[in-house]
Amino acid sequence: MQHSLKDDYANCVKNYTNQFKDNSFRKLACNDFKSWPGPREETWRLSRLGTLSRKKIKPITPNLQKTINGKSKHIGSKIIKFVDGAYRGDLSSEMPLGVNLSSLNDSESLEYLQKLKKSNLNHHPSTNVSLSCTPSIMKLTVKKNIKVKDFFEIIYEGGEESQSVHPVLYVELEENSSLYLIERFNHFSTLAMPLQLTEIRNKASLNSIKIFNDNKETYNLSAHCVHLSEESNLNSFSLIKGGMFTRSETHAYLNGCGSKLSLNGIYISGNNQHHDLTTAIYHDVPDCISKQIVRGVLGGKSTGVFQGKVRVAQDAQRTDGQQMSRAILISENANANAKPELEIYADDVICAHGATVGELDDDQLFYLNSRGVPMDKAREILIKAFLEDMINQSVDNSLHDFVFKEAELALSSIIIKETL
Amino acid sequence: MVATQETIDKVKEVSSSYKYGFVTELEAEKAPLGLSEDIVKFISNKKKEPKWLLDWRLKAYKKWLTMDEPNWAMVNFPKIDFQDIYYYSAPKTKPKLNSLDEVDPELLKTYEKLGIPIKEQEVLAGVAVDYVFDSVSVATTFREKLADEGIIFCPISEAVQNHPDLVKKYIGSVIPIGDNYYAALNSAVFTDGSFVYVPKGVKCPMELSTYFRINEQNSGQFERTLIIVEDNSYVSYLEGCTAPQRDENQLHAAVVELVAMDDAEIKYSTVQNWYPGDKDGKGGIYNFVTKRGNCLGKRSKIAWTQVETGSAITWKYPSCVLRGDNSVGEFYSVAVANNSQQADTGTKMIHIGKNTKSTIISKGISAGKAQNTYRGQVQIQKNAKASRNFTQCDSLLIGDRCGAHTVPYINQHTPSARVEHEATTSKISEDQLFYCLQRGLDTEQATSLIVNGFCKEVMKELPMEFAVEAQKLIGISLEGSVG
Amino acid sequence: MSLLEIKNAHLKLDNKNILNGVSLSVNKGEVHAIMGPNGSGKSTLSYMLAGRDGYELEDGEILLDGKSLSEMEADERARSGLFLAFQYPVELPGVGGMSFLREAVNSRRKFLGEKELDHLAFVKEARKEASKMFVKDEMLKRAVNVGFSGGEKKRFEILQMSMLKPKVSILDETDSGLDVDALKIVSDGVNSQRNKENAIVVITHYQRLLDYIVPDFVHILSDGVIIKSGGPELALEVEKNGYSGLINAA
Repeated sequence: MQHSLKDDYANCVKNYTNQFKDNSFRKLACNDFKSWPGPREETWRLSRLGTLSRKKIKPITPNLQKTINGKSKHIGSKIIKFVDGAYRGDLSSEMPLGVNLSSLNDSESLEYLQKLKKSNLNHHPSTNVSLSCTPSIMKLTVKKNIKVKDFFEIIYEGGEESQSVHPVLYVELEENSSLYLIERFNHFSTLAMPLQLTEIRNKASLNSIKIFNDNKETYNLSAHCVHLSEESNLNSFSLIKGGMFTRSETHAYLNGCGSKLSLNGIYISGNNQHHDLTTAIYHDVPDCISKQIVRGVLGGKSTGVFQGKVRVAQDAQRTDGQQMSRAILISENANANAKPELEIYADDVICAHGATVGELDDDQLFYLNSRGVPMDKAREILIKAFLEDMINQSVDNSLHDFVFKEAELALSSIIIKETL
Repeated sequence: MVATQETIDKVKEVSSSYKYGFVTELEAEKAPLGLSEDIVKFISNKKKEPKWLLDWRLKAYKKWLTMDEPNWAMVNFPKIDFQDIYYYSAPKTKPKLNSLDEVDPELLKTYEKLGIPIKEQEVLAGVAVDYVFDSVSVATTFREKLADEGIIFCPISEAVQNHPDLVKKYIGSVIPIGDNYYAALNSAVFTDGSFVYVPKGVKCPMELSTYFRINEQNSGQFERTLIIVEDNSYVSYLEGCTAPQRDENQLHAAVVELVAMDDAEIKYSTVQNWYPGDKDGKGGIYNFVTKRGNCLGKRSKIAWTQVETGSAITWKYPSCVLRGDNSVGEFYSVAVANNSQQADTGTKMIHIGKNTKSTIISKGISAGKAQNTYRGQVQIQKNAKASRNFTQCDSLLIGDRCGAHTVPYINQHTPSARVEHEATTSKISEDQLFYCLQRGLDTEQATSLIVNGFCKEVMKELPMEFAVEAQKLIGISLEGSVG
Repeated sequence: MSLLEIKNAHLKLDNKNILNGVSLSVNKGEVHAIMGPNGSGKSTLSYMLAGRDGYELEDGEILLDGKSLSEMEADERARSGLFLAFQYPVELPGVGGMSFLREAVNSRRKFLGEKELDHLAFVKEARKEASKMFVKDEMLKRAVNVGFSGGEKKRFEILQMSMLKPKVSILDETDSGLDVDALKIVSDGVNSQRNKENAIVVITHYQRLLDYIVPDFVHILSDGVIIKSGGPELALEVEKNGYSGLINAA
C-alpha cells in the first residue's frame, strides 16, 4: 500500500510526543489522532481537508526570540501575544489585579484534556493535535467579582510555511466577574490549530470578538468549547476574512439555568477562500436563551459554510433558541452552504431558525439606482449595510469602528474584483 | 382508501364473469430464504423477464453487495438480517371471512372513525373475497377506459412484457441502481408495482389509485413504480390508503420513479398508514422508500404530497430533480409520529435548469416517545440561474418525551438564485386547548382540530376525497397522546 | 334554586391568595355585573368558573344548575352549559370558523341528547345567527380569530354564545378593544339572548359596557372578595368616585 503523506503528519505528531510519558496528556491526546477527518464525516462533508492532507507539514518548534512587525494597531489596552503558538510574556502586558495568566502544570493539563474529551470536540483534530504539540496550555483567569474594564487583546501570530502552530488557551471567568476579550488570528504558518476552553461561572459575563485574518495560504482549524453556568452570559462575535481555509468551530454548553448566549458571526470570502463557521449550542437545563445571527458575503470562487446546530435536551424546558443565517453571493463562481439544524427533545420551547442564500435585493438596488447611485456603488452600499447592521448589534460601541473597518477592508478587495 | 359508490356498483356489475378467474394464479410459491444471485435469477425467471432486465437486476445485486446501510438518519433499530428475508413469495390470500362480525372489532372501530363505507370495510377487512377479486375487474374496466386515451396503467411486470422499450428506457433512469442501499436492493429483487404512461397531450381523466389493484397483486415488500408523462400531459396518482395496513413483512423498500417531459405535470399523493407496532414499537413496519421525480422537460412540474402516520420507522425523501428550464418541484408533507415511532423524512430539490422553482412545506408532529426528523436538501447548481426555493418546516410537540428535529442542507452555487428556509418548533399552546375545551370539545377533539389546523397548508394539496379521511386519520393517530 | 351558585370560593396562584371567599348567587333570567380594579381577581374568577388547568378551588364550591362543577373538566362544564367569552380570544391557525363552530355545537347537542346537525342544516343555522352579529360568511371561512380585528373577535365570541345557547354566560371584559359602534353590535347581540331561562355574568372594569348591557345586580370585587353588592346605581357610583372610595369604606 502506498504510504500517504497524511500519515506523515500523524507520524510527526507521534514522534514528537514519544519523548513524554505514556500517561501524559500529550500522549493521550496523540493516541486519538489517526488522520484528518474525511468527507464521510458528516460535519466535515462541506469542508474537506483533502488538499491539506496532501501537504507536507510538521508541528513547529517555537522560536522564542522571534518578533513580528505587525502592521495593525492594537485595539485593546492589555495585550497577550502568542508567537509560533507559544505565549510570549516579554511581548505581553502585565496582568492587572484580579486577572491571572499562567501555564497549566501536567495534572491541570490532563484535566483540561478530559474536559475536552467529554465535549463533542473530542474528535476534532485541533483538540488532539494541539494538545499533543502545544508549548503549554495558558490559562487566563478573572477572579471572583472582578469586572475588568480594559479591553483584553490576544494576538496569535508567527508560524512558518510547512509548519503547524498550536496555541492552547483556557479562559475562566469566576463568579460574578466580567471580561471583554478580543482575539486576532494573524498566523503565517501553513496550518494553525488554536484550541480554547472557556468556562463562565455563575453570573459572570464574557464579551468576545474573534477576527480570523491569517495569511492567505493558511489553514486555520480553530476549536472552541464554552461552558456557561447559572445566569452567566456570553456575547460572542466572529469575523472570518483571512486565510486560505478557515474553519471556526464552537461548541457552547448552556448548563446553568438562566444563562444567555449570543453567538454571531460574519464571513467575508473571496478568491479561492473557504470559510466555515460551525457551531453547536446545547441547551441542557431550563430557562436559557440562545440567539445567533450569521451573515456571509461571498465573491470570487470562494465557498462559505455555515453549520449551526441547536440541541435542546428533555429537561431544558422554556428554552428560547433563535437562529438566523443569511449569505449573499456576489460572484458567479461563489458557493454557499448552510446547514442549520434543530434537535429538540423538550416540548415547552420556542425554537426557530431561518436561512437564506441569494443575491442583493433587486428592489433595493433599483431604488438606489433610481436616486442616481451607480450599480457598483449601490451594491457596495447595500453589502456594507447588511454587515454593519449586524456589527452594531454584536459589538461594543467603542469597538464598532474598528470591527467595521476590518470588515470593510476585506469587502473592498472582493467587491473591487467583482466589478472589474 | 378511495372508492365511490360507483366503484362498488361496478364491482357488482362485473363480478360474475371473473368469479374464479384469479384463484389459480394465487397459489403461493416461495423462494428459499435469503438473498443470492440465484434468488435474483429465480425472481426474474418467475416473472419471465427478458435478459436485459435480469442483467440489470444482477448488476444491482452486485452493487448492493458493495454498499453499506445508510446510518445518517436519526432512527434506531436492530440490525436487519438480509439473509433472513424471503425475497419472493407469491401473494397470500387473506383468510376468508363470512361477515364483518368476524373482523377484529378494533379494526372496525378505526374504519368507522375514518368514515369508510361498509362495503369498503368488507373489502378492506377481507370479507367476501369476491369483492376483492372484483376490484381487479374494476381496474380492468378502468384500464380499458384509460386505454382509449392511450394511457397505460398496469402492473410493472405486465409492462415489462408488453411495453419493454418504455420500461427499459426509463427504469433506473431517475434512481440509478446504485443510488442508495435500499434502492440497490429493490432494483435486484423488486417483485411488482405500478406502471403508468401518459402519451403527449393527454390529461388523465381520473385519479389513478393503487386502490384499484390493492388486492390484485400483493406486490409485497419491494414495490417498484414507474410513471412517465409525455409533453403537455397530466396525471394525478394516489398511493396508499388511510385504513390501517398490516403486513407480515417487516421491511419495505419501495422505489418510485417519475419522469415529466415538457409542460407535463405529475401529482403524486401518498397516505401511508402501515402498522406502527405496539406502544413500544414492537412489530411495526420499517419503511425505507426511495422516491424521486425527474422534471426532464421545460416547464414540467412534479408535486409530492404525503401524509405519513404509520410505520415503526419511516425513511423517506421524495425528491425532485429540476432539470428542465422553468420546471417546478413541490413537496408537501405531514408526518405524525406517536408512541415509539421514528420518522426521518423530507425531500431533496436539485435545481439544475434555469429559473426552476421549488416549494417545501413540512409539518411534523411528535407525540409519546416518538422521534420525528425533517431532513431536506436544496441544491442550486451552477447553471440554475434565477432559481428559487422556499422551505417552511414546522414541528409540533405533544408531551415532553418526544423529539422534533430539523436538518436542512442548503448548497448554492449561483448568485442569482434565492433559497429561503424557515423552521419553527413549538408545542400545542395551552391557550388554544383551553379555548377549544371551553367550547365543549374534549381534549382529543381539540388536539385533532388544532393539529389539523397546523397541517392545513399540506392537507389542502391532497385530492378532495383523500383529504377528509386523512384529516380523521391524523386525529386517530394521535389518540392517547394527550391528557 | 339559583342557576349559578358560588360558595366561599378560595383560590391560590403561585402560592398567592387571589380569591379569598367569593360567594354569589345568580338566578335564572338575571344579569349580574362584577366590577373591580385591576388585580382584584376578575379574570381569575372567570378562568376558575370555566375550569382552566391550574385554577382549581382551594376551598369552596360552585354549582351550575345544582350540579357541582369542581370535578368537571373544562369541556364538561362547557357542554353542561357554561360559556366564557374570552377577554383575548385565542387564534387557531388553520382551523376554519365554520368547522370549529360545528364541532362545538354538536358536542353540546350530543351532551343534551339532541340530534347532531348535519352539514347543511348547520351551515343554514350558522349563517342566520352570523348575520345577526354582522359576521360575514367570509369570516366563517377564515381560521378562528386569525387576523380578526378586535371587534371581529368579540363578535365571533358572541356568535358562538348564541349558537351554543348556554345556561350561564360569563363575559370577561367583553368591551375591551371595542369602539362605540362595535360595542353596540356586541351588546345588542348579548341582549337579544337574555331570556327567562338563562343568566349572564358580565365582568368589567368600566361602567361603560353596563350602559348597553344593563345588569340587575352589581358586585364590587376587591382583593378576591365581594365587598359590596347593589343595583345598577352601584356602577354609577364607581364611575363617579372610582374604586378607591368604595374599597376604603369597606
